[in-house]
Amino acid sequence: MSGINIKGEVSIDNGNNKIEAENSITKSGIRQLVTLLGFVAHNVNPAHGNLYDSSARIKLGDDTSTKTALSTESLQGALISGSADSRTVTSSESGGTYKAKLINTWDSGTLTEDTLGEVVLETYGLKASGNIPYDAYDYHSQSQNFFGRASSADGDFSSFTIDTTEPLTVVYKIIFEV
Amino acid sequence: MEENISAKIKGFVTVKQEDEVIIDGQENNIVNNFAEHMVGCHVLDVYGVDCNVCLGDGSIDINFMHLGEDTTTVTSGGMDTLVDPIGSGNGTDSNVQSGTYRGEVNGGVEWLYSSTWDAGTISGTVGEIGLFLYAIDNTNVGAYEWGTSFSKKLVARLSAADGDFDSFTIDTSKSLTIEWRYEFVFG
Repeated sequence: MSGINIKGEVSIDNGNNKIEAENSITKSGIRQLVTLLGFVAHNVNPAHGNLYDSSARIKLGDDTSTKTALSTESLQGALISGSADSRTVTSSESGGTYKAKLINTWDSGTLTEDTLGEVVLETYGLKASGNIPYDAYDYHSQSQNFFGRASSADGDFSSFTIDTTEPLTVVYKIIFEV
Repeated sequence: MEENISAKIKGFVTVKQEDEVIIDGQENNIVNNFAEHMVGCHVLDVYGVDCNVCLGDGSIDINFMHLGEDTTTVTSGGMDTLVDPIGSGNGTDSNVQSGTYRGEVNGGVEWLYSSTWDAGTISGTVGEIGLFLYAIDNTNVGAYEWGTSFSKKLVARLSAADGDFDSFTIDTSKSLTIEWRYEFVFG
């Protein structure tokens, strides 16, 4: 109970491809989480939750060779085109484990027949600038920010060619364990 | 990257009475409210202008920390309050408080809360110290709340019962300052 562990998990379901993977959280991710201790969102009305806001999204990419670094802030390959057809946000808690989930589904035929090698989560909220101290009452603006990435290059999952005859669903979980 | 990168939030507490250090960077006990707040910030439809979900929206007088006298009750995940607060309600408010993002430290990032009680404004034997925030306690997706509607809840505690420090009597001739530092680190 001394601290909180923060993890990210990714599930991918596309026809015969059913994947459970862990992600890598980067500096961009923790620079968003620290703002939840007291940053002020300026002139935001309403201020949605970081996943609840419709600007939060999951992005799919085709890179299979570039590993995630602490400084990574984007897909490392080309974006696989096709907007998600549905998005759902859920939460759960059990004991001292609390989870927030973003679920995106692309209907069959929405995505191109490409190699899926990386999955990225972008949340929508505030983000602390690297090494610039702030008082809690300074104002900040919300934006889309890279949170984490699961990739075949990191060994998180094996890349595969998207089966465009089947829907593709990605569940991205952010987990806080006391 | 050979392994997945995970992260951790760790808290450390320093207590001083002017130039005398009483507790020096002791790691805190985080309770469930802290993690629930982090999830709530991701899934709630928080409503408010210039909203700061932890500190209120500026109309709320912020007081981060309170002191208590209990020395026998170990911290549990479900705690919402101190066991035996010094003063009414959650405990006597501090006179000065601040919250500051401190930038990148040791490869991660750091946040610091600080509270100070002026000399003579609080007295007693301290056995427990609590950090309180206007924490979101509702992880229902899309729940609709004003930024000012959150209540102040215990999110972390330091206690003699947990072996974090030896209880001490406040020297009322000196001011009392508590610094509560959170590191967001990797690994």
